[in-house]
This record gives sequence, C-alpha cells and structure tokens, in this order.
Amino acid sequence: MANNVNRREFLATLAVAGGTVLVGGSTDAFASKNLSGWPDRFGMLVDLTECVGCRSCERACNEANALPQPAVPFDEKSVFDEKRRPTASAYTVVNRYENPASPGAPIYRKVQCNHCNEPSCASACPVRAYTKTPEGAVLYNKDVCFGCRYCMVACPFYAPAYDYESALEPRVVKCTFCHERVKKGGIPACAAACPVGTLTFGKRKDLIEVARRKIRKSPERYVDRIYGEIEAGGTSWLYLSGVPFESLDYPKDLPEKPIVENTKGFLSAVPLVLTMWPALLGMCYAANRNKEEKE
Amino acid sequence: MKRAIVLSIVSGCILALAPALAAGAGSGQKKLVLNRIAEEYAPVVFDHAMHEGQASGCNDCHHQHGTSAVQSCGDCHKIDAAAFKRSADVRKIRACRDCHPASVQPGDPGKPTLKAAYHRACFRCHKEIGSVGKDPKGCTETCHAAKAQAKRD
Amino acid sequence: MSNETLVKADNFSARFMDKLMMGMPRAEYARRLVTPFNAAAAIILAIGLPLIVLRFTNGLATITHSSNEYPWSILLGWGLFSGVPLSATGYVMATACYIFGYKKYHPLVRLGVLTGFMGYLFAVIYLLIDIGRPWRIYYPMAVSYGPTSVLFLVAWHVATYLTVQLLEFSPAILEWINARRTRKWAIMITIGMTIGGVILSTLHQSALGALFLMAPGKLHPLWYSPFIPVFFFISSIYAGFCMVIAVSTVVNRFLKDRTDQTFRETLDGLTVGLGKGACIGIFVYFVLRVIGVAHDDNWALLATPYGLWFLTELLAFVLVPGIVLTIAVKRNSARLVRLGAFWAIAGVVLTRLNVSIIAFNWNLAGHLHHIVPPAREVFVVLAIATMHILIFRWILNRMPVVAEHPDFADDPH
Repeated sequence: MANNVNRREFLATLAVAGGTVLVGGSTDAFASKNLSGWPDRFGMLVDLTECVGCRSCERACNEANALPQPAVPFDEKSVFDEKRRPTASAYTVVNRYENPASPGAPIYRKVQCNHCNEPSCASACPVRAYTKTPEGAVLYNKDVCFGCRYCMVACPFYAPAYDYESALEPRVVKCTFCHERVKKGGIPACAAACPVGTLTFGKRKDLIEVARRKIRKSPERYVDRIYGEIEAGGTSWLYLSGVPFESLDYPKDLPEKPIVENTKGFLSAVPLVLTMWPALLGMCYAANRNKEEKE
Repeated sequence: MKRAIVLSIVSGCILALAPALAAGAGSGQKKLVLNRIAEEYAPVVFDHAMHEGQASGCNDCHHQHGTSAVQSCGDCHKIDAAAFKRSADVRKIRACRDCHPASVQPGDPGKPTLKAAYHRACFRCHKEIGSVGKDPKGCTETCHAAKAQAKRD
Repeated sequence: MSNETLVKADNFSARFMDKLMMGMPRAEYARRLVTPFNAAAAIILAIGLPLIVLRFTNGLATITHSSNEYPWSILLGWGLFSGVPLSATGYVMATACYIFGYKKYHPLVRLGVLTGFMGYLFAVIYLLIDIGRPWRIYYPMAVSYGPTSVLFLVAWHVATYLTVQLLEFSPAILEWINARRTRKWAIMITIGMTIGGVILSTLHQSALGALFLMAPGKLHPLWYSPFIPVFFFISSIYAGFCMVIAVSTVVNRFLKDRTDQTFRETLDGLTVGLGKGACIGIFVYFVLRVIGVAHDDNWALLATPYGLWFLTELLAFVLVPGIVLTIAVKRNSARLVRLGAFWAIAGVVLTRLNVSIIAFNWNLAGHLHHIVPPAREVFVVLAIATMHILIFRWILNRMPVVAEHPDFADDPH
C-alpha cells in the first residue's frame, strides 16, 4: 500500500513539474533581435535653430488626425508660459526655452513620440500592441491593448499619453508619424505645414548625412551632436540644436543601446530556473524522504 | 525743319525714357506676386523695390553665394569683393523658385523647400518687424491674407 | 469544526445554509455580525464600493490622479507590488514543510497557502480595477503574446500561480464540503504543486522587480540596480515568513475559537522558528542591497535627501528589524519575534512603494506633489483591503485552516 502511494505521488509530481516546465518554457521570453532591417526607413530631422514657434505643426497635426479643438487656439502664444507635453488630445506640442546667449530670441522645441529604432514601448508591451513598421513609424494597436500602461513606464521620452477619462475605450495616444500618408508617398502633416523648414522628412540614413553636413558647414551655429542618432539605440526623429540638449529638457544620460537590453539578462534566466529548480527541489524532497524512511 | 522736329521728338522720348531704362537696369521689378505655392493662404504681394532699398545688397536675400550646394569661390581663389559688386549682372540673379523645390525632394532632403526658403529669408528681419514668429498672429497681420478672407475681398 | 451544533438536514439547501451560517440559526448569526469591526468595515465599504462602480462607469480619472508621467499609483503600488511579496506565504511554508521536510510547521501551512492565495486573488482584483480595459485581462494569455515583456511573464505567472495556490488549498475546501475522494486526488498533487509554486514564485517575485529594468533613467539610482530582481525575490522570502507570523498572531488573537489545540500549543515555538528563517533572509537581503550600492558606486548619493530616505529604509526598516528578530530568536521570545515580523513587513511594503512610486520619477518637477493619492483612491484601496479581510475571516470561520477537520483525522494532510 505504501509503495503504491509512493509511485502515484512520484508520477503526479513528475507530471505537474514537467507540465510547469513545458507551459512556462513555451510562453516565456526569447531574446529580441537588434533592428538591422529596413535601411530605407524614414526619419525626421528637426533643426531647432530654425523653429520660430508658430505652432503650425500642432495645428496641422490636430487637423490631420481629427483631434478635438484645443481649449486655447493655435495662434495663442501665452501657451508658451508653461511647459506642456503631448496629451490624449494633442500628439505634439511646442515648448519655448529662453536662450541665455540671445535673450530676445527664444528657442522652440517640438515634442512628440520619437519612433525609436528599437522602441521600449514595443518591448515592454505584454500583448504586443506596438509595431515598428518598415516605414519607421511605431504604431499602437488599440484592439489588443488592455491598458496596463507599462509602455508609459518604459518610454524614456515620456511620449505615450493615456485617455484616463474614457470608461469603455481608454487607450494610449501618441504621434503616428502620419504612417498612412507616408505609405501613400506623402510626408507627415507637421513637416508639410512648417513654414521655415524646421522639419525635414526623408530617409533616416540620408538625414544623418544632412545633419552632419550642416554641423560641418556651420559649427558655430550647431552643437556637435545629433540627438537621436544613438540615444536608446537610436530614434527616427533626429534633432540639431544651437544649445546643449540638456538645457532643453531632453532626457540625458540615455544609454546607447536599446533599453530592452537591460531585461535580457533576467529573461534569459527564466528557462534556466524552469529547468534547474524542479531538479534541485526534487532532490531536496527525495533526500528528505530518504532521511524519513531511515528513521 | 522737318528733320529737326523728328530729331527733337526722338531725343525727347529717349530722354524721357532714360530714367525708366536706368531704373530697369536696377531690377525692372517693383511688386511681385508670389503665387507658386498658395495652399493655405492667398498669393502674397511682395514689394521688391522697397526691400531692395532696405537691403545692404542683393546677397541679403539672394544667397547665390556661399550656399551649401555651391562651393564658395574664395575656397580656391583670392577674391576682391568690390570688383564683384561693381560687375554683378543682376539679370543673372535667379528667382527663389529656380533653386528651391515646391515640395521636398527625396534625393536631396537637405535643400529647403520654396516655402521654407521664403520664410527663412523673410524671418531674418521680420522676427522683430511685424512680430512674425514671436506672435503667430503676425502671419496674417504682416504678410498673408487667409484664403477665405481673400475671397471675400 | 469544534463547536458546531450541526443538525443533519435532509435537503441540500438546508445543509448549504448550515455551512454558510456555521450551523447557527438565522437570528443568532445575524446578531453575531454586529460588531465594532464590522461596523467600521461597513462604513468603509459604503464609501469605497460606489467609488469602484464609478471607476467603471466614468473612467479611471474619477478615482486616481494617474497621469501621463505617472501611469501607476497606489492601486498597483499597494495591491500588486506590496501585495505579492506579502503573499509569498504559500510557497515558503509549503516548501519548508513538504520539500525541506520541516514537518513541525504543518499547522501553519494551510494558513500560509490561504494567505498567499487570497493575496494573489486580490492582486488580480486590484489589477482589474487599475488596467484600462479589465475585460481584456486574459489577452496576454490567449489573444496576443508579447514575450519580450517582463510583464507578459508576470501575467502568465500570476494566472498560473493563482491556480496552483487554489489547488494547494483545495484540500481544505474539500474537507469543508466533505468530498473525500476528490480530496485524496488533491493531496496527491501537493508536491508537484509545491515545486511548481516555487518555480513560479522565484520568477514572478523577481519579475516584479525586473519590470523596472526598463526605466533606468526614471528610478532613483539608489533603488535601480541590475540586481533588482534578486532584491525582490530574496525580500519576498522573508516577507513570507514574517507574514505567516503576523497572520497567525492575528488569527490566534481574534479567531482563537477556530484554532485547534495543536495550533495553539505549538504556535509560539513555530513563531520563533519562522523568526530564524526570516532573520537569515533579512540579513542576506541587507547585504545584497549594500552590494547594490557598491556595484554602481553610488556611495556619494547617500548624502542627498533621497539618500537619507534610502538609509531610513535600509537601516530602520531592514537592519533594525533584523536585529530585533535575532535578539528575539536568541531569547526564544515569540512576542519579540512578532514585533520584528510586523516591522519587517512594514519595511517590505516601504521598499515596494519606494521602487514603484516614491523613487520613481524622483527627478520630475513637482514629484512629491504628484505621488500623493487622492482621497478617493485611498478609500478604494481601503475598501478592497476590507473585503480581503472579510473574505479571509469568512473562510477561516468555516473551513479547516487553523485546525484539523475531525472527520479527516485519520487521513491528515
């Protein structure tokens, strides 16, 4: 009788522990690959020395995406008195910064999702609601999102906004890089609207060359850095500035590698635990049973 | 007698025309209508003659020299600027639209579009004058008529 | 159960009502319900439950100040990040008793498993309230997989582990409803469930910390470390021991009539034993946190305001309770162990709140203002915590958790 129970217990143990390994192993993480594909993906070069703060980009984005009318109209400059950020009804905003070198000529900075090469939001999302497209845009799929908001924790640029007001259809809101327009051969609405050519749309690799040429041609005009070239693994939106980027509230000290790399060590330990723990614990159990039987 | 009258009339005409010719030798253009790109706003009426008087030289706006596309002559040659100024053939100064495309060219994304070229040129001075850039309302106050407005006028 | 005046009724509904009202006639049961604690609970629920309804009819913004910079608040900071380590009671007790063979802790195993199961169940409830579309909570399991995400792992594990805990606790339920044969089957899978439970717990306890590996620039460097998954895992072990000590203390004080003699007589000795385990866990954890500071050479940061807060957490809420527990164990004083245990639990909650809320986005303007939750959110959390306690008490009052069922004394588990 005792032997029967032992055998049954043993088989049950194996079945359950093995089942855990199978279930766990087939669903837990495998490492993400580096983004080396799509060399012709698009980017946007933002020359902050040209921006005049007219907010035509905000207006164009609002119209192109049928966003609600803002409380303050687009030609109202008092909005610049406070620093704003993209919200559930504004994919992009422009902020004003005083330039200590030229007090009367402030600097304007456009803020929106940077469409990273290897987006943290996409890596963080447990339901794969984000996609990096061949055109370069990082798109959000509201049809699978269940609102955990981990993407908002993960984004180093604080880009995603969330519609907390909605009871039935809350969703993440962010710039789409006008993906539909771009796929049809057009350019994003903000770039089309900019009167001074602050925003230059083109292939990311070409824009890096354009930016480097600009810095070389006018070293007194630009800080020698293309923000977005390598930050967090590189972003589609690239920035040139006449003043250090930290003074314009750009996140500093971002690692050069995609942030998801930080989790690869942990996630790769998962199958190791799933394999070793049953054996280790099984041995402890067996050793204890052996000791008990001897007593 | 008849020959004298004809001669005086002709010379009189020439004399009358001379200032006009001389003026034409400057640029020949007084007011330009910029209508190559007119999507959101009505065509802009640009007083070329007035701005010509305000500028210190053609190069203030027509930056044919030292552009990113053209290597500056001084990179290789010793230049006497005064010599160039006297000998400038204004008929060769090209219009903005001759170099700047209406929409961004994929092959040369670094070249500003025509809209960007206009505004960058204008904003060099108009950032202070007319508050354009400082106050977005300045767009319609200073230069542009909104299309809806233009239709009404 | 010990003092039931069970009248064997013929029909199912009468037996069902007997089980629900613990064998008491209706009037007597109703009278028993009127207590000061129940009155306070009723008030809290009267405020909190309508707020929860409001959340579902009018959106999250009605009960929380979560924003675009601060997507997570105390609903998750308490319910998930604090609740889960405090629910480690199940796996630590089952492992200690069944795998490592510490049979003497048997009286506390079911209590640990129940505490753990309830903790995870309520973590899911907090999640259902916090996530934007709760009706889609099963999506990571069945609709769309995001395996690069640590949160994907957490989702799968919480779901699986909840099942494991329920199965581990099922013998108690089956004894309550007298399902002898099913109970036999449930007992057979205990070892497998226990091993599965440890595996899952190792991974998801550490995964909750690994979540923050995606936010290196946002979490204060004294709390951010590549070792954060290890910190979370080790602290969950001693949190489990301390929670068993704490819960058994409360049960022994307020629900003594549900305990059996074995439980009452051995409790103090077991408490000191658990205190030993907690001691080891706490000191290992303390050293690991110091290694974390050394690894990134963050010593200079200890002199900043957040550095002082970090030292408060590490010294006053990890080292000191560790010392208290050591002294208590040496003196064999169950009372002092309990003090140390409650203190250590406060430290675990503090560190979880620090990582998920207080030290998160520490460098944003107006940070300290942003992290204070609105009163509505506090009441929602209180209401859910009250429900948690009420349901826990309901189960303890009826099922054989801290006492052995007399009908099954011949086949104990």
